[in-house]
Amino acid sequence: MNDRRLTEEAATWYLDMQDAPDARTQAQFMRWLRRSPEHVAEYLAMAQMHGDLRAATAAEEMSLEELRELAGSESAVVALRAGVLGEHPSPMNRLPQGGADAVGGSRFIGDARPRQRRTRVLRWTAAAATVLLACGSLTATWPSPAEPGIRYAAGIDVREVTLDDDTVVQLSPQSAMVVRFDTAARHIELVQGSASFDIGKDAARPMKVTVGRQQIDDVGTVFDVQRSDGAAQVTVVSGQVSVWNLPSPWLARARARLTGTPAPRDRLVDLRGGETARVDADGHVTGHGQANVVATTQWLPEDIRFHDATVAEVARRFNAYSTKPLVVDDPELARKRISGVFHARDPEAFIAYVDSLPHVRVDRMTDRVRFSTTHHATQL
Amino acid sequence: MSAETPQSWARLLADKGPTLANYFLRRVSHRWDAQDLVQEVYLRLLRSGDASAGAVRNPEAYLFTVAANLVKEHAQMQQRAPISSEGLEEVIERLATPCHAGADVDRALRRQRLATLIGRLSPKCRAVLVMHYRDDLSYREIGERLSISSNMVKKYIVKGLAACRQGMARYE
Repeated sequence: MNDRRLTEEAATWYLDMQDAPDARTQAQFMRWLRRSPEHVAEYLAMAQMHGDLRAATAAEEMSLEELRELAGSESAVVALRAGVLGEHPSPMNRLPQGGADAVGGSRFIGDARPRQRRTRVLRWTAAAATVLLACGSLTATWPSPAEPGIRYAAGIDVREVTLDDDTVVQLSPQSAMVVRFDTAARHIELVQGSASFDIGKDAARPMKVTVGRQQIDDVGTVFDVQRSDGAAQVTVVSGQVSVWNLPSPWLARARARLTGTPAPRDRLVDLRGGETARVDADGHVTGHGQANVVATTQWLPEDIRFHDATVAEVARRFNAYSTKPLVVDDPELARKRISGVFHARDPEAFIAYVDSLPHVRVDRMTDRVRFSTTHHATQL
Repeated sequence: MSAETPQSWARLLADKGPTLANYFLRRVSHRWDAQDLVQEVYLRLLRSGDASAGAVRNPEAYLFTVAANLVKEHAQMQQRAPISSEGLEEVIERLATPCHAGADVDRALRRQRLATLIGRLSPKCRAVLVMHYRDDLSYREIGERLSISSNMVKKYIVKGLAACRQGMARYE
């Protein structure tokens, strides 16, 4: 588990503090505590565990001698090997992790890779501009698979990617997408698996998401797409989208060459918040109705963790889960920075928190929850 | 705050730490409240400032003082139990007495789960933990009985604490 180290650090500090620590140790402890609220929480949890352990071990009936025998029953050789395996995994043990790394697994990459990606985005944007100048009439057709783009893949965990237009994509485990942004349009292709999209606003560059031969136009929305065997399941969490059938790539190219206009695409279905549609590989809508948003998004993380993020950012994180988006109407409030951990399925806790801020008003509307301020917003 | 904290105060707070932490993490009505309070404790720790960092001679007592103050303010805000004139000592005393029937059941369940978790620890780790917490033996005394170094004893306690903490976190 990821927090194991933090927990062990907290345990070590807790024991150190019971041992008449010197001034230097105290100062080091203070620095440790100040590293994050998680450190504080973990230390408090350790204090609690300390109290609980006294109570829990009081019920232990073994005598000291029996305990000594119990401890002796643990062969030293076994203990040593277990320790070695745990701390220095053999090459065999490391293999699965390496595999996850190769597909861009989230946990093992650290933060070196996203930074590298950012520069690649910029570099690619420059290249794209050149390509567009060379073949202007082709720009409206969907790029062929050979066209460059940035591929993002999730490993064994859900992977969250924030693109440079402020679009937030959550890729379910083992899913992959290719992102192609240029100055005129934004394209994301879901290559495999499922993803949740919360599209950043950019009126000048419309967002199109393609899944096989289907394309989804976004109008300021949060939606989920699941790709399986050529079919696509599109679920709109909030807002609305249009799903289109794309012409085949060769048809599009031929038409563009002959007439100089892009091939038309067929509008398949319009979806609103809470609706879902299934489109098969031939471009037929095989199911259209009310969505089970909880079931569709069950692969998303159970909690929302953030550190020093704005209220607006946090509100958006919740919107991946709920058909009633949280909308922050006041710029001052939107910029306010907070930290914390919330249960993702329970926006009420977050709403209650925002509601507890002075001068904040919460309006529950049929299609959204609006945060605004009454007056004196500067006092937030 | 801590600069004026008398030594006895620091002792009291350190002793009452587990009770206080327990209140923090479990007794508040809403799960978010606990996180909110942790958040606030953290902010106050930061606000204590680097300049005065030298003045914080006992960070643990300081941490618990901040926490106790917050709990007091929190109780006042909730107006469930106004504690206007009481001192921190009383606040902490009050925390030690569970205010609702559910707390007892909850505590019993928690203890039971914890006992199961202790049973799953490696034999040595389990023996060390019981000797330390039940019999109040020092690291050295435990080490002598089990023929391991004091340092190893401490390591086993850390491992045991961490394993129990993570095991319990999965229940909550």
